[in-house]
Amino acid sequence: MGRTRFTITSSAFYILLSLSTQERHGYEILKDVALSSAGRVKMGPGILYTTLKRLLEASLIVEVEGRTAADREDSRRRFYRLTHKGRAALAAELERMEQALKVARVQRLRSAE
Amino acid sequence: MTFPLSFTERLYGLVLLAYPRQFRATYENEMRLVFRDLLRDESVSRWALARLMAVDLIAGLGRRERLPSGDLVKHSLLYGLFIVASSIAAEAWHPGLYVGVPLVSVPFVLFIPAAFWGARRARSFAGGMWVAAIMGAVSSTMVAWNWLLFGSFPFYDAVSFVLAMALMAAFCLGPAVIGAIAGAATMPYEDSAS
Repeated sequence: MGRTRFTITSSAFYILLSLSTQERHGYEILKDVALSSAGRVKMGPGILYTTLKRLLEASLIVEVEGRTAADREDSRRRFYRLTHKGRAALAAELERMEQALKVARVQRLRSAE
Repeated sequence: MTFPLSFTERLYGLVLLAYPRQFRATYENEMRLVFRDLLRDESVSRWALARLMAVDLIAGLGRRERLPSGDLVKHSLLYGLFIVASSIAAEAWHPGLYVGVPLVSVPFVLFIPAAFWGARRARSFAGGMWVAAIMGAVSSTMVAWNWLLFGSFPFYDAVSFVLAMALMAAFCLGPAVIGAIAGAATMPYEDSAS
């Protein structure tokens, strides 16, 4: 199987971030993304499931059973969890952002001088 | 689903028609569940919900597999040009009457079969909506043509022009949706794979 190149969009990034702490279902992801992005990223179900599908295809996340017995009984909801590959992709993206932030801070300091 | 659906949920069901059939087969139930959760969430305003619905509709129509083929675009452009030509002809033969005839009645009549044809041709609801959107965009230039050819611009100012165009687009949306739904619904199941 050939490697698929996956571009991490802001929606994908926040979904990966949300799943980095625990497995969640769609609505939990939406709420967590809104919280972690301070309301800047607001997705509807369409964007959410389109992105989840892409993340599944890229093997960055997997479907899992619910956390609790009640979750598992509610077969209508699917839960998603980050894979090792997904965690690595998230870490790489965070590192890239940190690097960009460092550069931006240095440049700002220089322009302020 | 066994529980009754509210009007808003039914409306969202129509929005979901913009997504490919295969995608809907996998995710539609969950998307409806999430939408229902959003509907019950008091921290989500009606305006935010409407915005999310609009974004989902655009995201569905804008998917790569939903983009119209060159052939579909060409035909849609021709339909739009036909409306423009009928508007110019009406103005030439009966000056002053074009607003009442082509701008209102022709789109109403033509958007239904055009969207129906588009949905059948593209084998999807989205195909019908694309035809209607392209046709609407082209036919909206009739105002410019009438202005250029006859010096006729029956609007008080730019704001009233924009409002009139928005109202016209809203008028045409209804017939387009009806035509696209009818086209997609009358496709044989095995033929309407996307």
